[in-house]
Amino acid sequence: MSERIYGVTPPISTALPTEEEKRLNNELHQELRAQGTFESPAETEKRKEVLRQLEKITNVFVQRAAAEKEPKNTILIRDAVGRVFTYGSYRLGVYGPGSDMDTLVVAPKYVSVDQYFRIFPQVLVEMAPPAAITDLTPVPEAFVPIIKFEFSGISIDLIFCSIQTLKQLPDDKNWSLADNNLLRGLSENEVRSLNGTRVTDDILNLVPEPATFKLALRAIKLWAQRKAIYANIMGYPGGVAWAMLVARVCQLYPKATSAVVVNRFFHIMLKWPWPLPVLLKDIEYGCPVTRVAVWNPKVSFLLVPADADVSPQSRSMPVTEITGCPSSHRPTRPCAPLTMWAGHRWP
Amino acid sequence: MAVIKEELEKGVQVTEDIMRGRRPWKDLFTKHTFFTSGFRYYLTVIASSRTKKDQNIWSGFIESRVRLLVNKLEMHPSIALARPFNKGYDREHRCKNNAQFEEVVSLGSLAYLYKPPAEEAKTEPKQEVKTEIKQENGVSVKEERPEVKGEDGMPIKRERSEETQLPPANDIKPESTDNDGVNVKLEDIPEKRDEDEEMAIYTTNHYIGLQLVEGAKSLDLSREVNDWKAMCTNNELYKEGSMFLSIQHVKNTALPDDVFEPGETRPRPAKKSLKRVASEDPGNRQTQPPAKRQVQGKAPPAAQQQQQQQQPASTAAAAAG
Repeated sequence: MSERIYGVTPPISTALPTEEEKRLNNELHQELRAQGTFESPAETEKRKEVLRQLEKITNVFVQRAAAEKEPKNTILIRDAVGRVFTYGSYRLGVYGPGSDMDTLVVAPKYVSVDQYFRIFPQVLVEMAPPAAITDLTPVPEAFVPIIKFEFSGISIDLIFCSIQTLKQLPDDKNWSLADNNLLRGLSENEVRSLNGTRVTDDILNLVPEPATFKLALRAIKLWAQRKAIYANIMGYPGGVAWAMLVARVCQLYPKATSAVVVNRFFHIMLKWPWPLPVLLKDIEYGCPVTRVAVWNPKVSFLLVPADADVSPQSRSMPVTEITGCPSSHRPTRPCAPLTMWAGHRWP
Repeated sequence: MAVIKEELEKGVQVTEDIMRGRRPWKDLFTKHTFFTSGFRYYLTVIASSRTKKDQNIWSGFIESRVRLLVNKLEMHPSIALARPFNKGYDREHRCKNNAQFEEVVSLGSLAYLYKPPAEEAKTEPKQEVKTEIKQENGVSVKEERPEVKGEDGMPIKRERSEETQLPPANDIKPESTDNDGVNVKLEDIPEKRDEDEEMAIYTTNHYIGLQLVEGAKSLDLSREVNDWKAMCTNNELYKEGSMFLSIQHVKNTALPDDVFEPGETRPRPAKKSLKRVASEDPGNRQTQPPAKRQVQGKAPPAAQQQQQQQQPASTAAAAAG
C-alpha cells in the first residue's frame, strides 16, 4: 500500500522506533513534565470551559449584530451564529501554565468590526460569570485588531473576522477556514486575522503524527526559550516559525519518536542551505480569489523588508504568515513573522 | 544568524550524547548565559514614557525597531556580533525632580524604582502585553566606562547614583575614558514640577550584547545610534515631552540585578569575565575569533563631563584594547 507522503520530498527515513528510542522518548516526556511545560488537567479543563462560554457569547453577539443591522429580519436573527477558533500554542497543543489563548471569532458578512468592538465587550461582560472578565482591553487600531482580556484568570487574545461570502455560517462542527474562497472580499487585515487559524490548522494537517510533532515542538520551544532565541519581533524565530521547522522534520521522519525528531531537528537545521526556504507543502502561487497573498507554509530567512513597519500592538498577533508569494502579491505592509532574521547574515 | 547556528551546533552535540544515553535531556534545556557570561559589553535601549498607556505604545514600537538597530550595529567594522536579548525589561519609577527624572530616562538609573504595594518586587521579562510593572530594587545601571577599573564590578548603589551619573559622551574611546552614554534632550525634560510631586516614569529596557572584532581600538557608535534614534523619534507615534529614548553602554559587571535569576552569578570584574567572553558567543562570522582583550587598566578614571547634552541622541560606546 502506498502511504501518503507529507511534504515536498519523500521522507529520509521511515524506520520504526527502536526500544532504546522509545525509552529516550519517555525520558524526554518526563523531563518536559519536570520542567513544568505541561499544565494540570484541571487547568486545561478550565480553558475548555472558557472556550465553551466564548462560543455562547459569540452567538449572542452575532445575533445582536444581526438585530442591529436588519431588525425586521427575524429569520436572520434567529439563525445567526458565530464560530470560535483557536490558533497559536493552544491550537498546536503546546501550551503550558499561563499561556495566552489565541482565539478568533468568525462571523457572517453583515457583522462589522465596529460592532465587534462595540457589542462584543458588552455581551462578554454580561454573560460571563460575575467578575470573571478582567483587564478588558480593546485595541481596535492594532495591526490585527484585537480585544484582550482575562477570562477566569486565563489570558485571551481575541481577534475577529467576518466572512464576506457567507450570510450565515454553516452548522457543520467540522467546518474549517481552509477554503481559500472564504478569503474573497477580505482586506489584508482581515485575511491576516484568519491566517493564524489557517496556518496552525495547516501545520497540523501536514505532519504525519500530530502527537509526535507536539511533543517535539514542546521540546524545541523550551530549548529556544532557554537559549533566548525565541521572539519573532527581535529577529529570532517565533512560535509559528519554530513550529514549521519542527513540522518539516516530522515529515522527513514520519515514524520516528519525538526524541529522534528533536535530535534530527538540530542536524537538519544546522545543515540547511539557508536561505533556501523550509517548505511544508508546494507553494500556492497567486491566490486566485483575493488580491492578497495567501499564506504558504514556508520559512525562509531572506525576505525581510528591513524596514517592515510593524505596528506596536501587533506584537502578539498572528502575523506570521504571508510570504513566499510572487512579488506582485507581496504585501506592502510588514511581512512580520516569517520575515525574521531580516538582514542577518546566515553563515 | 550566527547565534542560532551556534545554538544548533550545541544542540547537535547535546542530543547526540542524549541519544547515546550519555547525558540526560535536562542538559538540552540549560539556560542561556547572555547576561552571566555572554558578553563584556552591552548596549541598552531605554524606552520610557510618563504614562503607562504611552509606554505601551512607545515600548511596543521601540521593541519592533530594535532589530533594525542591531542590523546597523552589525555593519560597524568594529563589531563582530550584536545579539539582542529576546525580551525587554519593564520597570516603573518615581522621581522627585528633574535631575532624577533625567537619570532614569536617559541614563537608565534604577535608583528610583517604584513597587506597587500589592506587587512582589520582582522584575521579569515581560510577557507580551498585559505586563504589570514589576521591579526590583536598586542597583542602578548606569554606564561605566568599560575601562575604568575601579568601578567595575560593583553595582552602583542607589545612594551613589546621583553623584555618579556622568555626562555623556558620544564617542568614547577607550583610551580617553570618557563616560559613555548620553541622553535626552533638554527639552525632553519635564519643566516645571514641584520638587515634592512624584513623577511616574515607565521604562522598558532592551539589551544588546556586543562582541568586538579582535583588535578593535575604539568604538564610536554615535552614527548608528543617532540615525536609529532619529528614525524612531520621527515616527508619528512619538510624543515629544512624554516619550523618551536613550541608549547607553553597560558593562557586564554593571548589569542590573533583575536580569539575573537567583542562583546565577553575575560577572565579576576580574579575569573571570575575560574568559567567559569567549564562551558563549564566539560569533564566528566573517570576522575573527572571539574578542578578548583586556580592557582594564587602560583607562583613566574619569569620564566626566564632556559634551553633556549637546547631543540629543545617546551614544554608547565600548572600548577595546
